[in-house]
Amino acid sequence: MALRIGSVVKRFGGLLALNDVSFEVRSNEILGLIGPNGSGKTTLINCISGFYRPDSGRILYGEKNLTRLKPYEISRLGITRTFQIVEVFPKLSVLENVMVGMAFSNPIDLNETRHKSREILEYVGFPREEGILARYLNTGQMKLLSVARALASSPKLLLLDETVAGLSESEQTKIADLVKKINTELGIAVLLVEHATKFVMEVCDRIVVLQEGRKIAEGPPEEISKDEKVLEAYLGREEI
Amino acid sequence: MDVTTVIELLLAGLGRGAIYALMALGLALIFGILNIPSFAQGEFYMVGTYFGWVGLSILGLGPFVALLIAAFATSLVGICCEKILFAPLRRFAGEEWLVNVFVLTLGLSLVLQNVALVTAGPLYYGAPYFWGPGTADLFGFRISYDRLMIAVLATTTIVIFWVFLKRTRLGRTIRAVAQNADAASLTGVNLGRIYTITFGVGCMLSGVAGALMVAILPAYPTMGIIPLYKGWFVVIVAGLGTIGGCISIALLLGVLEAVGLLVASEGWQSFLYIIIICILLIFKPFGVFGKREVRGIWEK
Amino acid sequence: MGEMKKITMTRITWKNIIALPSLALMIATPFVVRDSYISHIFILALLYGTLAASFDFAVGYLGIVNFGYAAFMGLGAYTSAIAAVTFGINPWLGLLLGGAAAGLLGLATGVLTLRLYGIFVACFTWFLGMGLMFLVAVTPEVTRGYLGLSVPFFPNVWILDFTDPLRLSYFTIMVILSLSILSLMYYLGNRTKMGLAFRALRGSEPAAMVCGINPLKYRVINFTITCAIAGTLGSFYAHYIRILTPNLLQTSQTIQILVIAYLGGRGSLWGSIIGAFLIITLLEVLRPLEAYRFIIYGVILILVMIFYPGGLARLLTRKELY
Repeated sequence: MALRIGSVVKRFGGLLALNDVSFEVRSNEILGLIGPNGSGKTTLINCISGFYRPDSGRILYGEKNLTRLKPYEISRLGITRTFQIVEVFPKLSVLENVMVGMAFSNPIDLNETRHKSREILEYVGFPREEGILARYLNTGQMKLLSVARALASSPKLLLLDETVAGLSESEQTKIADLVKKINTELGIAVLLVEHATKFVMEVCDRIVVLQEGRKIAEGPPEEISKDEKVLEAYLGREEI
Repeated sequence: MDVTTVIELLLAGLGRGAIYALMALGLALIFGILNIPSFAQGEFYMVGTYFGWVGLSILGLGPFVALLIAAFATSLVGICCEKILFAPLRRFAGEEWLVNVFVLTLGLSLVLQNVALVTAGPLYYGAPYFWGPGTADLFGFRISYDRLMIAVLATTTIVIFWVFLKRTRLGRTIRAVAQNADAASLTGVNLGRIYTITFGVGCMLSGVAGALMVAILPAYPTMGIIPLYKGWFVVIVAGLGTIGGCISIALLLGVLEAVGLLVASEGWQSFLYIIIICILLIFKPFGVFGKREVRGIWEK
Repeated sequence: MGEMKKITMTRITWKNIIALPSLALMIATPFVVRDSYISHIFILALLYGTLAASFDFAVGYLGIVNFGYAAFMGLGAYTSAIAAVTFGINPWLGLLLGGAAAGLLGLATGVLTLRLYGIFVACFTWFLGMGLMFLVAVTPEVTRGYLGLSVPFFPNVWILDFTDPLRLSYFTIMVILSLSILSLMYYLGNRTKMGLAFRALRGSEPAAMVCGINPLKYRVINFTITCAIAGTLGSFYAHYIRILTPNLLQTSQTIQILVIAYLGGRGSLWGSIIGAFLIITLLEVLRPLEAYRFIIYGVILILVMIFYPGGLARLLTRKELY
């Protein structure tokens, strides 16, 4: 099932955060969403996941229009996300964090939830003990945990909001491999919002570029890296 | 029921309404400028009543002087509370200011009630008359001197308050703070002082209301609950709109009550008030006429 | 040691070691001492401790402060009392009726108000409590208002004689009721999906939502449960104290519960019980200060509000139920 974003507009008071944005996330791809600060990437993710309601436009997943749904309803449709400022359940253990992801999207009992959550932790290669309270993890581990939690809800589309910001090279590579693994092995589509353009270029099948709320480019990484408008938008910033 | 009785009921109702207006204005002022939803305001009414009793019955002073004493004494109590309780809370305030200060006023209410209980005891303390015995003849309509003077003095207080707010420099400063506290403080206004003064004025209004009514509703420690919810009723219905809005709703309420007493007892009226408040809170939490903003009451 | 959280059923901590003997001590004391007054103190302490723990179930998990809590308890009390007095219904059944009545009102209140901000819930429940109190006062034909409603004993069961002036039978029931309720809350909070949802919502509402948790649904469930518990405890209280007046429902009673929850319950379920014991015994010991009781509560409340910037909900949220 594809996610079709159609002419989405979102205003905050006088500020036009999203200006007629349209594109598609195909059912098996990894799509990157990049753009300079303030281009509307996170706003768009918030619109897709139900935290904001667009002023106009449609967001279709299969047949359903997501724009009027609440986040927990959207999660039940198979779309889940992580947050730019990482959100874990600090006083729950690592295992319980994942269990929360699993328990409310599956009609299974707590014991089975526990077992399956362990499997998820193994799958993502979580480096620490399952009994540790989430508040004691470092940022990188928290981000990995939130990915694990997202996986636990058996999504068909995963929205990752700046998962590798602030991570070291090796941590970034780990996440990159994980994202590819999720996509190829589990057939989960991924919409990846990132600042770290190198990461995006390596991992994504296609890329959409936003600037000041508008889509300015869309295509495979090779094209994007040569695109005039994109280079201009990033002028003075990272080398693409 | 003939016209005379109706008019007399109306007059009585307007008198009541003026008292409710004083309560509502005090609440709205304190909520509008200090952002404090005060659930202890009834206790300031009570304090006013006690001081009114002291002035009238103990010291044997005339109604004017007793009223003045009650007004200033109550505002003094209010100022102390503001400086000791609300100012520190503002300094330490967390993100949950509204809930915290609401709970604080509940605690204050409890303390004031029980201090009154412990010091004055559970008896009723009143006076036989506020102004004097007898009934006045007002163009053929009869109204007791007491109720007449209560209405007159309440109205006078409201007018003085209105003039103070609109015409004096201090009043304009207070309204400026209500509109935009940050901007006001940038122009050199001492916010702390304004908050204290405003709170004092708000309490004064409630104290005046209480003192005026001392002959009708004598002082006892838990008396404050009724003026409190009636005051809030007016504020919730009027939605923190304009001063005029508060006053009109209060007067309307007074009249409705006076008429309503023919039908339902005081007790059932209390219950009805609460039910209506509950319904309004659910379906129109920002007031029947009000806008979504909770502050900015004096913006007109 | 603080880092790890064992997922196993039992944890050997110093709290566990002290808990069981203290519990045994608490249960045994009234039977050993055999004094009517001591029994009364223990019953009240258990009652208020359980009420506080239950009140805290809403605050601690979901930041919902129910300012009409005493009125829900009173609703349960009057429901059971009136059922017994006017309809001759067995007080044991009355316990259920009281819980059901309070639970239903809690459900309605929750559905109607929990989608609004915390201040509205606090305000609304305050008014609601007031409204219930007025309702009781204004219907003396049914409730006897301020004259007081006389409530029958529990009917004797097996070896339990409720007319016994030593009140040991009441104490037994109180212990059973209290332990059942505390166990229920522990079970719900820690061993069910529902509890996981509560704890998730407390940790991070947005993250909980993307996991498929509907915050409103769980707030309502939580709120309803605490109200039902209050109602049940109220029913017990009615048949224990055997005379009811509308004063049972007033704000000062809620504040008493709140203060106990704060002073004791910051740690745990047991904390509420301990807190209740401390406060109630303290107040009994300081008999001459009885008149100042509510002044003390008020001052404590004020001090808490000023000096704990996170406020009530944040304060009571620091709880690890065990």
